[in-house]
Amino acid sequence: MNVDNNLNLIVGEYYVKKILAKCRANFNSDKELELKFKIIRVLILKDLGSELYRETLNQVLKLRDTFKIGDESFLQDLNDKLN
Amino acid sequence: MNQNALEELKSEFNLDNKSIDFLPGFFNYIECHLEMRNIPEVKKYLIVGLSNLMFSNKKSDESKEDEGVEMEEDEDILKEKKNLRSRLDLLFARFNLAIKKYEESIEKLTNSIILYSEIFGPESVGLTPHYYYLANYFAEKPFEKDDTQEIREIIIRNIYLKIADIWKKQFMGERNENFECKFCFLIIFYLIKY
Repeated sequence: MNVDNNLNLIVGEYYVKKILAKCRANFNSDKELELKFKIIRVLILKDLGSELYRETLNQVLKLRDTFKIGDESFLQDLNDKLN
Repeated sequence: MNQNALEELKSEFNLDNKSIDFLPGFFNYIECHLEMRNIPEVKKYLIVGLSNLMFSNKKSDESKEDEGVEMEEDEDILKEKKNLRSRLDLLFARFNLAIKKYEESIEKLTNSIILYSEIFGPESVGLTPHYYYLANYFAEKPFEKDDTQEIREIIIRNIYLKIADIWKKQFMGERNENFECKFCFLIIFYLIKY
């Protein structure tokens, strides 16, 4: 990975975190939007090799437990695989 | 970064005040002041940054005239100058947003997005800050006729979705056109497994 991509990841992580805060403040009921940005943050942190990666992933997993999607059977299957 | 650190950097790399190599560090310095809402400092340094960039363009125009031949400036330098101009316009947009000059802010922001897109494409993850401040513009500007909070929220949400989409493409390519939650959970599964 070149320096520019790394810089994009660092800057991106900063702004994704800011967007997450805005989502919580303005779109509190929109858990889908929040989840998308949390996952993007996890992916960025993973690419950066950050120690925060695991912690953030755990937060996503907690959110998953409270999140309802249309296809309940899919979620149930996934829960079985993850637990 | 403070001013002393900038001065040290300048002398260490032997950069004169008109060098464009100095500008990325200079812009970081302006960003710090923007975050601290130190508006007079931001204004002062934005003007210095703009004059620096304009002077570097003027200098290359003069050298062309002196030599009497049409010199083609190195493509990388032109690209770098365009990138710097884009970043400077983004800073101007943020400054105008901070002082509530909304028309000037959206003009600079649009220009910044266009310049950056010309170099890296409109779906580059490097546009994340630009789109973030575009959403802020819609959140902060005064309400006009027929403008409602609901419409604003839809616009802001769509901008955030656009940001999510460009990051999804960065990690997953063009596959999975819809960033569905099923797809999100599959990513989690993948991350845990590997």
